[in-house]
Amino acid sequence: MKAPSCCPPSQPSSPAGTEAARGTALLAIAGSPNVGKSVLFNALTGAYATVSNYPGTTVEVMRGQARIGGRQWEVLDTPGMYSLLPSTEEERVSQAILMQQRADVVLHVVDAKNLERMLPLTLQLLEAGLPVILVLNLMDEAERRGIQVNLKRLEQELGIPVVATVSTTGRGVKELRAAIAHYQPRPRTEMLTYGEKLEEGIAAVSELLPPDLELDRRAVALLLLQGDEETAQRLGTGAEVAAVVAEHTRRHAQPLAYLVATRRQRRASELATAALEIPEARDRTTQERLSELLINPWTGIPILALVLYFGLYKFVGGLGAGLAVDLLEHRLFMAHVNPWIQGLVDHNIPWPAARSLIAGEYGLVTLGLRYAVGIILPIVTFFFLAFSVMEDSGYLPRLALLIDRVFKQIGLSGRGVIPMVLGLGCATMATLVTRTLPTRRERVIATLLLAVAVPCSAQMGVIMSLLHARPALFAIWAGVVVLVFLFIGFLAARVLPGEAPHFFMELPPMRLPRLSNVFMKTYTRVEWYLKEILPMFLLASLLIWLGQLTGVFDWLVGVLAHPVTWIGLPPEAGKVFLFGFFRRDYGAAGLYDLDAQGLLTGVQLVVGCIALTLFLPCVAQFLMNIKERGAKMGLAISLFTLVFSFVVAAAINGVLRGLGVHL
Amino acid sequence: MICGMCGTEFTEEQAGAACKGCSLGGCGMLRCPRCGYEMPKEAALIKWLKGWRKKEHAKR
Repeated sequence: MKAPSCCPPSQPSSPAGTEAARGTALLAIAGSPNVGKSVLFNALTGAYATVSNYPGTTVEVMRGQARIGGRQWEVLDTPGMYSLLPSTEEERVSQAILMQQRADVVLHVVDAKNLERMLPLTLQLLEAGLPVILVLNLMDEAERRGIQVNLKRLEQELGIPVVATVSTTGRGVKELRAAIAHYQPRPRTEMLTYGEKLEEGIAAVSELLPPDLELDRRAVALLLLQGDEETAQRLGTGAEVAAVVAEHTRRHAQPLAYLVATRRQRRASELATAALEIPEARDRTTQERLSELLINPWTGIPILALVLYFGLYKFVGGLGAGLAVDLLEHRLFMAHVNPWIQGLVDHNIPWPAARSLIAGEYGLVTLGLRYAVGIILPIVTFFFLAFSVMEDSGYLPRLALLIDRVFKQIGLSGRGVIPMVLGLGCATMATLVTRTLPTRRERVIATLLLAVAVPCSAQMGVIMSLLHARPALFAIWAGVVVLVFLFIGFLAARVLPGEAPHFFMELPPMRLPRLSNVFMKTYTRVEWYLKEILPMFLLASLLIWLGQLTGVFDWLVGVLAHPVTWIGLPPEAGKVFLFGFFRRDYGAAGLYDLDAQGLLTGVQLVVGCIALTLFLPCVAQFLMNIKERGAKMGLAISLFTLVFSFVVAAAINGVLRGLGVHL
Repeated sequence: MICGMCGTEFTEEQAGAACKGCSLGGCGMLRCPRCGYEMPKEAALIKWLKGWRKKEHAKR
C-alpha cells in the first residue's frame, strides 16, 4: 500500500556513500516497466511506503524499509527503465539513483518470459560495476509457456546471483531475501568488449576522467561516448572529453549508441540460448499464433496483401473515396453548397474579383472548402479508421519485422517502417522522423523514398477513388509505385556505401482493438489533419486567385503544359501539377476534377496518377528535405524526383500506347 | 498515451522531451520517447469527454 509522502521533495534520503555513512543498507529495485517491480517492493517492505518526487522532477520514487538478514535496509523502487543510457525523464532519474546512490544491492527485475530482451540492461548494470542480483519475475507465466530457465548456468555466465520469483504469490521471495542477506560482491566475470576501434575510444575517454571518480570509469566512458549529456553534465566533463568523444564518433559510420546496443543484444541472445529451454511445441495462445503468422514471410505477406486489399482498397477506396465522397462532394457541395454560395455572392457582391475569390472556379468555398471537406475529409476519415485498427491491434510492429528483410535490400531496416508509415499521413513530418534512423545512409535513403514513392493518405485515397472502379488501372498504378519504391531503394543502397542495418524491436502483445479507442484516435487524427489542411487549401485558393488577377497562374499553367503533354496528358493537367507542388492532396483533388469533367482517357488517368504520385514533393516537404539533408542533398533529391516522375510517366504512357492498350 | 508502434506508455511531458532538438515546433504531434513514432495530441473534445466520464464515474 502506498502512503502519500508527508515530506517535501527531498534529496534522496540517503546521501551517496556507504552503508556506514547512511546508517542503513540500501537496496535499489530496477527494471523495465510492467515487470512487477512494485509488487516485489511491497513484498519486501510490507505495507508502508513513502512516495515523493525525485528532486527537480515530476517523477515519483517509492521508498520503504525492510529488515533482511538482521540488517535494516532502505528499499528504493526506481522508475521503469529500458536502458542506463536515458531517453526519458524516468530513465534519467533511474540512472541518477543507480549511479549516485551506490546501493549495496541492486535487484534487476526482469520478465522471465522475455529474458533475451531484458538481459541487455543486466549487462549494462554489470558494466557499471553495480552489485546486481538478477530477479526472474513472472516465472509462473514463463512456465505456463513451457519456458525453463537454467538458473545455475545463468549465474555462472553472469557471475551474479539469479533468483526466480512470482512476486504476486510470494514464490521465491524467501530465496530472494536470503540472496540479499548473503550477497557478497564477486569478481566480475561478465565483461563485454566492443571491438578494437571502440575500445580505443573507451580507453581514451577513461584516461581523461577525474582520478577521484567513484563510478566505474569504463561504464562512464561508454555512456559519454554514446552521447549521454546527463552524465557529462553531472560529472562536469570538459571540452577535452567532448573533443575526444566527437573524434571517436567520427571514426564510426554508425552511431556509437547503436553499435554498443547491438553488441549487448548479441551477448544477451547468447546468454538466453545457453540458459533457456523453450519447447518447440507448447501450448501457445491465439495471440501468439497470430503474431507468428504475421511475422512469418510465407503467411505474413499474403496477410499484408489482404490487409491492403480490404483495409485500403475496399474500405478506404470503395467506401471512403467512393460512397462518402459521392455523398459529400456531389450531393452536398456540387448540388447544394456551391450553387447556393454562387447565388448568394452574385446577388450581394457587386465586384467580380471578390465574387471570384469566394465562389469562382478556384474560390475559397467552391474549391478550397470543397476539396478539404468534400473530397479529402471523407477519405482521410476512412483511412485513419483503418489505420487506428492496425495500430491498436499491434499489427504495425509486426509489419516492421515482416518487411525488415525486404527493407534490408534497400538499405533500410524494419525501423524504416516508422517514417514510411508516417509518410502515408504526411511525408513532411515523416522526413523529420527519419532522424530516428541510426545512420546517415538510412536517413538519406528514407528521405529519397518518401519524396519519390510514398503518397500521403489523402492523395492515395483520391487516386483510389479515381481508379477503384477500374481494377486494371489500379493494378498498373500500384505495381509501378511499388516497383519504383523497390528499384530506387535498391539503387540507392548500392550507390551509398554502408553496412546492412540491424533491427531489434520489442513486440507489444496482440490485442483486440477497442471500438471507443479506435473512434477517439480517428477523431483526433481527423481534427489534426483538418486543422493542417483547411488553412492551406484556403491559402492555395487565395494564391491562385491572386495569380489569376496578375496572370502568373495562367503563365505557370502554360509552362507546365509542355512537360504534361510529353507524358500524353491534356494541357489542362498542368494546373494539377501546380496544385500538387502546393500540396499533394490538393493536386490529387485537381486530377479528380479533371476526370469528373471527362477530360481523361483511361491511359491518361493512370499515367496522371503515376506522375502525380512520383512528382516533386509538396513545397513543405521540399523545404524539409533541404533542412534535414542540407541544401545540396535536398535540392538533388527534389530535382531527381521531378525528372524521374516525368520520365517514368512518359515511359508508361509510351508502353501502353505502343501496345495499343485501351483502358 | 500508448505508442501505436512499440506499445510504450508515456506522458505528454515525456513526448515533449523526445522532441528536444526539433526547431520547428507546433506540429501538434507527440513523439514516442522510445521508438520515435508520432501521434497527434489528444483532441480537446476527447480530453473533455474523458474528464466528464471520470467525474460521472466518481459520482456513482
